[in-house]
Amino acid sequence: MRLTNRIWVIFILVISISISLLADNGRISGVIVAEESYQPLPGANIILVGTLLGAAADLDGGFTIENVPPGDYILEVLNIGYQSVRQSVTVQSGERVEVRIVLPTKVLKSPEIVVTGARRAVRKADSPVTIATISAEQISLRNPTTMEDVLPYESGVQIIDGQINIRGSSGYARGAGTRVSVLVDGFPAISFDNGTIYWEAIPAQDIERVEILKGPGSALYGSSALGGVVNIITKRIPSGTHTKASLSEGIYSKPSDEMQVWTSQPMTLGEYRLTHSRSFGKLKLAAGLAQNNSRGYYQNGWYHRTILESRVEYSSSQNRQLLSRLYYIFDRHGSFTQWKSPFQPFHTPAGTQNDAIKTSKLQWSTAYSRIVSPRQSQLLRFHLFQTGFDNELYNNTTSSRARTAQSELQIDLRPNRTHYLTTGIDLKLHQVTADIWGNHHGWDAAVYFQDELNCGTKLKLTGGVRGDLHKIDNFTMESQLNPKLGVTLSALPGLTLRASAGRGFRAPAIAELFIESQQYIFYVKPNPDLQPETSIAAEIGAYWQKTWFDFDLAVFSSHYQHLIEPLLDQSDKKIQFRNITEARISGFEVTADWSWQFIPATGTISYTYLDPRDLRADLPLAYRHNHSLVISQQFNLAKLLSCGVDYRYLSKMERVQLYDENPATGADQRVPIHLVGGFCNLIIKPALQLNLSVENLLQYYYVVIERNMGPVRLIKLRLDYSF
Amino acid sequence: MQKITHFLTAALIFGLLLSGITCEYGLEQVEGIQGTVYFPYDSTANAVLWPDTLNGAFVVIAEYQSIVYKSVDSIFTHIVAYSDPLEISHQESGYSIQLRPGYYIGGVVGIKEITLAEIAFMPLDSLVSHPEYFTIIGVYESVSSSLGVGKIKVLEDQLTDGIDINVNYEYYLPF
Repeated sequence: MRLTNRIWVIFILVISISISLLADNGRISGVIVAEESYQPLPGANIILVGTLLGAAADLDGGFTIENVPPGDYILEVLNIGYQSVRQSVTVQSGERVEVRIVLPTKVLKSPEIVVTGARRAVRKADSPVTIATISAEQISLRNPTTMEDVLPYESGVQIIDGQINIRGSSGYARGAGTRVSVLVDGFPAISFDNGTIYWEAIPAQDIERVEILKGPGSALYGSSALGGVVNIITKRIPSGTHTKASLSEGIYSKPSDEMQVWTSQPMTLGEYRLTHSRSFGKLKLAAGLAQNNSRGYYQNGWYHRTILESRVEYSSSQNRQLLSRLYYIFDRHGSFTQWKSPFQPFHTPAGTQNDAIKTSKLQWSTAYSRIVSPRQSQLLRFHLFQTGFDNELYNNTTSSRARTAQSELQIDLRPNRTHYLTTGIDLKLHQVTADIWGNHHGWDAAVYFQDELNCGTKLKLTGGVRGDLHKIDNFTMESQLNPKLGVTLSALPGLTLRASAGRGFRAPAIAELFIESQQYIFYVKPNPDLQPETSIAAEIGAYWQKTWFDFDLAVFSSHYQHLIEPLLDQSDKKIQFRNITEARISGFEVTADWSWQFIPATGTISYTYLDPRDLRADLPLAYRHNHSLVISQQFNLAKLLSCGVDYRYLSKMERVQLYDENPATGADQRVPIHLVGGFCNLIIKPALQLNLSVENLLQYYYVVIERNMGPVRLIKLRLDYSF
Repeated sequence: MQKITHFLTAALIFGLLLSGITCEYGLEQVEGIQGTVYFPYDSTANAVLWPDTLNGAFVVIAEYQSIVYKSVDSIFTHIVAYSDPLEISHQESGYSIQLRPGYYIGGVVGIKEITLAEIAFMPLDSLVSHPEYFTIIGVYESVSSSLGVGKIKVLEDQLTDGIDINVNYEYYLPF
């Protein structure tokens, strides 16, 4: 082609594109209502299929999608508790299309959409990896103090002394490091210095839903996600003016053996929270104050916690939104390492009664999202997370301050109806000032890319990769490349088959690299040569969704290399974190949700089997439960009273690391765990609710880890009043 | 108001009923011994006497054998349990050990060459097979015993208290 011809072609293309951009786009407005009552459905998600355009229904069920190019579209509406509905719309140049969409009630309450698997909203059935969800209703009914109380009711999820396990990934490493990434609205809630999750920094009352990605998520979320991701999505600020007061009082039951009773006072806890929100046109503001106090169910299990929070939302249009959240917690709590004796398992050893720890957390996160065009959207995030602790222990007065500043840009592209591209860049700066592991600084940089390919209407292929750079002080920079592949096939109406494989990694925490301290009788020394631990995981599964039940099956296997564990150095008798273990965790998981046809009741049963093996030592991995079972049944009476029962079973841990069972004496016995809980929620009037919940209803005695008793029965009563 | 009253009444009845429920399963009722170890005290120096050659101390319990003990080793070849590390900087250090019902003898050992951390990582089998790491610095004695070595009786579901042991670095077996 001659040069002049090329110039003409380019000129015509530019003119064509300009004309198309200048064309007067239309808009779609409407209202979403429930079929049963014809009441508006606030929060419903409206998606313009095949584009990046969409909206969320406001408090009156209304929505507007702006800047829609002329053409024929399919509008899809999704809302928890309702069947999704698709409706065809035609947008003419410069015109406004009005729609009214009626959503039929869905018997099962499982959410239709998830955002964690692909960093964007997709139908749960279209996710190539297992994603479990916990709804706001499930959380509220159980009235948890922190999310630690709720997450273990999800299949394959256990929390062992604050460390979260998804399908046995983390085990228990005495607080150092986590192999599960915990996010709040996509922002990490893990401290940089010791890799600890601050559960109390996650507002249980404000949660819209929790999504749990089971399997490596490092291809999108980077370090720490090699065992999975827990993404906690908070509620949006409602329109109008709202004030809510929440008062909760609880009491632990005393052990039946008088010798085990450590206090003559009632073992109470109290949670008090006041929030206020107000909207000024496009600007919404919310602020809250909470005070949590507990005497604890064991000596030194007390805490005093003050929480301040504020949120800002600004939507200049449906296509541009700014969300900002500031959270500050000051907490002082007792410290408990292990029991005084098996005869007094709720007592702390002599001399440690005054041990306490002061902590503070400051979290500021801001996200700005905008839909640039039907083919492109952008999300810009900023995050500051500062954590600190001061140990006031009988033999340890150490402290640490950690700061992380994060900035991330994510771009979603929809070049055509076949591809959906997600790409982004993620930068983090870290600083630690501590006497327990010294002063350090570092940075992380990452680039990620994912393409979802729709092969017809039934087959979806997903491929992605994330490159991470990680540097601490002047040590050699680490680089990691984590790919993933996934496929979903809609085999039959309601039945989706899926398969996925991916690689994950975790960079060692500052604590594991540089700790130098004495913990009880153990001296711990640093190991700056620690390498990141990695995993390769694969999963196949099936999801079957019918009107009256959901069924999910997953078979999975993860191969871990260079797992970091504490080891005694025989040369100087000091403990050091080392890359010592090669491990494989295989298993399967079955979950079924159902609803009775003639009574207003829903239920769920889920079972997880794990075979966690240390391949070098040919032993079971420590601190894992091979079998876990969760059964829940909930009854709803006239939409005013909801009652339910939960049962959770965990098989006996096969192996622990420190104090094994002594068959000759019966000491350090471990037992299977059977926990029964119950709840009742009464809506007296829309603004007033009462909730009664019980955990460990049968007062079952068990150890969580060696010489640490699990919680005894807790009865809680909560009153919520909105005005 | 009526709804609240009904709900609270039901909650109260529910709570009262719950307070009577205790699961029979889970961790078993435990039995064993507890007592105090007394370390020699130098009132002039106002400090506990502790030899530099020892790295720590704990109480060990062995099955009672109805034989005549001839050496230290013969006593402690049947160790079944040991306590957490004793607080060697204090004149008195409490301890407790879970044991099944039966008869036992007990003593205090000082550890040589290895550390308390190593012992924590060591299974009981390995511990028993290394008598060179231990030296006896006290034995539970009983005036009623013709041997001088106290026989400790542990009953079902009971904690046997008062198993006190005096540490003596020049200890010799009293038979």
